[in-house]
Amino acid sequence: MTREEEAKIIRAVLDGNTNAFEDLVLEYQSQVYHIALKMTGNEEDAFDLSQETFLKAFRTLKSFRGESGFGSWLYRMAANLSIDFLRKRKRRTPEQILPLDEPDEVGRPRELPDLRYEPQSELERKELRSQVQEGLRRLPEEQRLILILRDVEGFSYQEIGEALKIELGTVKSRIFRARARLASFLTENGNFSRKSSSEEKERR
Amino acid sequence: MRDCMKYDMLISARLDGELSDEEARELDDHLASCEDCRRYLRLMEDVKEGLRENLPPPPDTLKSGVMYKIGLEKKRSKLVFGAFGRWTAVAAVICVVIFGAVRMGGSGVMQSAARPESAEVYKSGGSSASFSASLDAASAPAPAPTADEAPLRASASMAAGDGGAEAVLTAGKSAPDGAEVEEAPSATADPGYVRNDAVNEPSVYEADSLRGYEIGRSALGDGDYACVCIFYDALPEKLSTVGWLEQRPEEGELGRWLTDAETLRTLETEYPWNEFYYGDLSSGQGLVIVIAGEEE
Repeated sequence: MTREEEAKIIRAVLDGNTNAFEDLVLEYQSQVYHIALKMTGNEEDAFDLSQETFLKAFRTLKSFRGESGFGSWLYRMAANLSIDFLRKRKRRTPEQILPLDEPDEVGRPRELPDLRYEPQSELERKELRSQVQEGLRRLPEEQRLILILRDVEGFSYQEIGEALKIELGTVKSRIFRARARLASFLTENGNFSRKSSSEEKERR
Repeated sequence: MRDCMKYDMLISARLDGELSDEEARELDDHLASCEDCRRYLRLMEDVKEGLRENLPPPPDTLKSGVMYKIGLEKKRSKLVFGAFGRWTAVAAVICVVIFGAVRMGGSGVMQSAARPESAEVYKSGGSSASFSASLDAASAPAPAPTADEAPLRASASMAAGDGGAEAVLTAGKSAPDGAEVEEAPSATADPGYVRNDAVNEPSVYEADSLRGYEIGRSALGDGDYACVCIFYDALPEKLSTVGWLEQRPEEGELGRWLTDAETLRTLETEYPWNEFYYGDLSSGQGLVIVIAGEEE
């Protein structure tokens, strides 16, 4: 859908033809749903969150300025709603946060991910992949979100910056940190073969 | 000790296709000789794969659910001040009381209705029932909504002065100057109101010396709140009422009107003994319509 087509639909909806909104839902429901799914980890919550996102977009359509694409605006809404949702959920059912690398002053993980990642088989690689959702769950919401936007949705740094209203440099480093943290979790907590001793190396 | 930290960042960027040519070369050179980093790259690739797994398409019910709920909201928004929802009932009652009192020429009645005591009732009860109860003395019957789509009805019966009140303001869709009228109610509380940005332009009258009493707030959901205010202006026999505002702090938007320009114009013509004041209450509050009435 081009920007022009989008603008046309939006105008139609604002003029009172609310059925036109369906085209926007069709266009973006997959992405919104996947963001919600990866953020919340389950389909029910993802469903609710996705509906809420579209309803909110409908209600506030008037305030959409059209400077960024409708998608960006929508993803930002989905992102904020997801994060709110997760925080509320956390308050209700505090999660066990596994100790992951804490960033040092520079903001980088103090310890390197265990690099003895040497899957012997396709099975091990599969195992790693299956643990990813669990690892994702352990990430702080902002990091979880940005990894989802990048790796699940395939948005460029530029698009992510637009959606989250952050600078490119921030996008880049946040993605990096999210990945490093996730990798750390996976290699330290997964059953991945280790070649040498499990002594962790500190990086200074 | 692994000195490859800076390459981690490059590897991350490579996965995203966001390396400059120079960086790409630098990374390639390093990867050629660094097993650790090659492993890290592979790990990151697998992580990426893992993230992309388990992405079922959204169920059909997502779209149909959204459209259904939108349809509901649209229907409700046609009854701006109908008897649905707490706020609309309250709003209608206020209008009723005020206009009714004006017609009756009973400023005393009006003032009693507008006194802050009523405010407390409203605040504590938070329901239209309690608010109406406090206004019973002013004999304002509950309004019956006009369910049809004709814009701006309801003035007639009130002007007739029979005290029977229809819902005062039904959203009109066609603002005469072509300004866009939005139907965007909150699904949780007040089901219907119309916003019109055109109304936010300052109008003829200044209203510097307004004072007012806030008689209640309500969360409409999504952080919106509406504030219903009754104002007295300087002359006691002049009655003023309401605007109510919608503010969305999150969106950074200032108060937008819960009625539209056409409605206001109609009120001006239908109730010529009233004066309409528009003015800024304070920054972030948007405009308030103040209708000052006096005896005919």
